[in-house]
Amino acid sequence: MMSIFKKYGNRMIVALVTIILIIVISMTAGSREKISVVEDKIGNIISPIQKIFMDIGEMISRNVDSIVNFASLKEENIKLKRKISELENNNRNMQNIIYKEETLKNEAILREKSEYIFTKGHVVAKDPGNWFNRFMIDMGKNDGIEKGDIVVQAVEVEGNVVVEGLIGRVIDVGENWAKVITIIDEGNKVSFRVIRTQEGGVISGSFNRKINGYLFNSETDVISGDKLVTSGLGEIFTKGFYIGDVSDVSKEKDDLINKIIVEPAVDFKNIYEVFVITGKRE
Amino acid sequence: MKSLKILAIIILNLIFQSTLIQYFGISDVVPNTGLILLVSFALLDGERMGAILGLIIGLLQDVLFCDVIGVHTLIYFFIGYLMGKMNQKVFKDNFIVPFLFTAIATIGFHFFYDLFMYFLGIDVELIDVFEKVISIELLYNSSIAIFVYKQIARISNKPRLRFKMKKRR
Repeated sequence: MMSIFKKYGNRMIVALVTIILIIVISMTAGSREKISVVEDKIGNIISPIQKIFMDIGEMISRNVDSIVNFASLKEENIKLKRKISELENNNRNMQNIIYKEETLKNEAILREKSEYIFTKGHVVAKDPGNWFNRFMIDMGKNDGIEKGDIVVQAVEVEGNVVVEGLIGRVIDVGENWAKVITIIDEGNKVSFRVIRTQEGGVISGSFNRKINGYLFNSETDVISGDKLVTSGLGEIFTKGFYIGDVSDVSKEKDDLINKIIVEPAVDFKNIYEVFVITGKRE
Repeated sequence: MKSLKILAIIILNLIFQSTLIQYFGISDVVPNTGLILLVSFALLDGERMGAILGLIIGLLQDVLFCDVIGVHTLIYFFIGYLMGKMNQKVFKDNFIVPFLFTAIATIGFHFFYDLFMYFLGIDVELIDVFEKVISIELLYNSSIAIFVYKQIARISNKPRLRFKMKKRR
């Protein structure tokens, strides 16, 4: 007995660990109502630290982008470059101010007009892998956020009209953090309605960071530029949030459905602040 | 002392990977530094270290970022174990070694992740994964691995050649 264990000891441990992990996967794979205490605690400890680094990253990415480009220019232009960099620097500062002002303005309008109550959250971390588009925010149970809450951002549609642009929904909540799954994630499906024709359909994220979808009715006409809002079917997303515009329509002969590609209203590359909808205004 | 150092590196890496490194993507594809660390440690320290590190790195990532717990853990565990098996079989001072094995680990990771995702109901075409992510991530990971491997070799300062010596008190 002992000698068998000595000979195959390592492999037995590997097999045992594998079995345990597969059991854990199958236990956690379904839709869980609550997260475990351990998860909650680890998230509580690590999310404030992540926030610091995310802020640093945000600062760097906002300021350094154009400096990196300079490195590729030829040496002959050093003097010019200096001049440009000075100007660029000024320009960047200005743009930073303008950019901030615009989002702040959108925010203010949305807060005033919207029929929902928001909690503002900062993005503290993004999923490290290349597979999913999820992120963590620094608000949690203590701020009144619940699992399933909808996450939006103020976006401006033509002519100073500010509406809620759909980002995603909360899938896990800890005490002071929450995980958000975005609508460009493969694991997420949203039912939509075309504003112009009131026809419905379903979109889902895809691996290459685009939103693909199809319409229920293949006879309907849909053109690029059509605006989509959530339809509220399935009761995961509430009715009436702005998703984005149709950027491409394709219908092949054999297909029974109209396939569309959607350009989301929210700029998913640069999400720093989001709103979580916690209730409706009376 | 050494294990404390390694633990600190892992946790720091996790924080960096989920925050700062997100800004260094090449056409939106970010390097998987956790995997690089895992491969380097496993190659240098053997299967036991590889398996344990795989468990820790995978579990942390699962708990913090995924709703299903265990997928990363299981894959990293196997990668760590198998790379550790190579410990005795490769010439460790050659920089081709980390490059090649990180590339293999990256492909293996995505392949098995796709498999698990398929069983969990998320069907992603493997071809898409290869086109968009693996091709870039593979080169990205492997080139970073060369530098990481050198640094890690310093920490895991096991002498490459052992001489028998009498202990002096």
